[in-house]
Amino acid sequence: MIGFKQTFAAMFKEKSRTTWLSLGIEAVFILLVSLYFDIRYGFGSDSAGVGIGISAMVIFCMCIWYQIDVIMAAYRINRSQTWRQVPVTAGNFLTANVLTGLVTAVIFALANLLIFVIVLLPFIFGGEMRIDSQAVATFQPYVSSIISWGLYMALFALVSFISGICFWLLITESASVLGDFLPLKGRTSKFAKAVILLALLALLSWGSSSILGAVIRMVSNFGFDFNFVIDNTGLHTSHTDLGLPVISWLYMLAQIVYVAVLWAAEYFVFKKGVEAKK
Amino acid sequence: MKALEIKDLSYHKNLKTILERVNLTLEAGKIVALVGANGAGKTSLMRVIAGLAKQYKGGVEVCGEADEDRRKQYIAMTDSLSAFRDSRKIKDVADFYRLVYPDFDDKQFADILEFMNLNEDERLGSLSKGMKEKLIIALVFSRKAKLYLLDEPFSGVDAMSRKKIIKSMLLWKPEEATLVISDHVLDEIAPVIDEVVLIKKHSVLEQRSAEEIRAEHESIEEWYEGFYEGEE
Repeated sequence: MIGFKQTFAAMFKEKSRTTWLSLGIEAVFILLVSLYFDIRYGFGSDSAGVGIGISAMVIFCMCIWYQIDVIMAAYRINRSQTWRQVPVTAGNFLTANVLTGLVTAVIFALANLLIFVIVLLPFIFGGEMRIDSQAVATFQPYVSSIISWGLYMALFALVSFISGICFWLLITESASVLGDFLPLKGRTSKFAKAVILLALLALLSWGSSSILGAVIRMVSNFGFDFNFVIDNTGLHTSHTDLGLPVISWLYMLAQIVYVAVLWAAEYFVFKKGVEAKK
Repeated sequence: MKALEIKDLSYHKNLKTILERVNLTLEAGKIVALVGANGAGKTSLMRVIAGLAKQYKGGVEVCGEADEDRRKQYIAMTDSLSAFRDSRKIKDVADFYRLVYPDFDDKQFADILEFMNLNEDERLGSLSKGMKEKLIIALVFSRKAKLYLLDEPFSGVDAMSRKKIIKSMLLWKPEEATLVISDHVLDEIAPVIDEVVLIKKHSVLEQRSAEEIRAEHESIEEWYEGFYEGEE
């Protein structure tokens, strides 16, 4: 038997190939686009911002695509005969699968942030960089609060990402397990699978949307509103900030409990019903 | 010592019966042919043993271990390698095996690869069906397992290589390990097998020692074909 560490290492090695490949292609494309616009219109002009806009769009689309790919990769591994022969307990297998998805997604997101910063550099330094002294003075007292909000949102995003993987694994695998083993055949079986998939989607979406909705309301009502404005004259800020309320941690707890419930349900379905594909 | 013990195994999917009341015991160290027509349930039986098929009823023990996850450590089963893209090299696949199977033997793998005339820098996409099957056999026998499950391992391998591989399997397999080869063609594996298990109508119809069959019949193939006489 192998343990969690070895399983995680093997899965990470396989999954990170897609991460590096996607990042490489994306980075080359984005840098070429930015360079083209920067050279054609000059670093300081408004038109140079078109390149940044395109880069931001590409990064956004790639991040969405990558999230879908992470979920698909987790599903493929759960159903793969090659992987399912590996002598590891179901709990370690599933945890390694979910966490490697999370880690590769975090690497992907951080690398994209870095790419975007690199793209921004010539634009910022090409224009006249002006942050007025009044903005700096009003910005100072809110730094610790901004850090707390940043950490909270990052942590919430991580937990939500795990819940997203468990959510999709659970509904797709439950539908195929029930579809495979219900006493139904052919079209009836396919129809039953679709109905089960939709029912689970509705039920579990309700759970996710309740927590996420509450957090979004909290963020909009309690006042984290800090904006960066970048134009050809440089970087400007505007903000209203009321600090991180205690209730935000209760929402975090609710999200963690929700992830635990999804994981436990997925573990049960995986262990008892998910067959490896031939 | 028992390598495998199956009691009252039944496996249904949708409205289809795949295996029904299968009882089977295999002793350690034997080479067993699992034979039967297409669709008899040979592959499904192997998948149940390996813990790849679910929702079956009955008991399956490998080397005394009934837990589905834990019994995988004793089993080396052929796999289509569908988890690997065609662009991956043989050495990448070997790296994966090395990482996830503690019983993977590097030297044995290198030796078998050489025997099969395969180069570890070759990409999976450049391998023919037969070469891929040779690689799969090499990966299986590079593990020091207790129970080897080979599911129709020679279907794409040319006749000459097949004979060589079958003979060599005896050397690659640890003495105390049990080898189960599923096939519907018996002629080439017949000389090396100790026991034959015939699957028909989703269950084990016969389990006999090869020696007994050879003593009573002209050949094992003749004995096997007798079960299908008069059938289309």
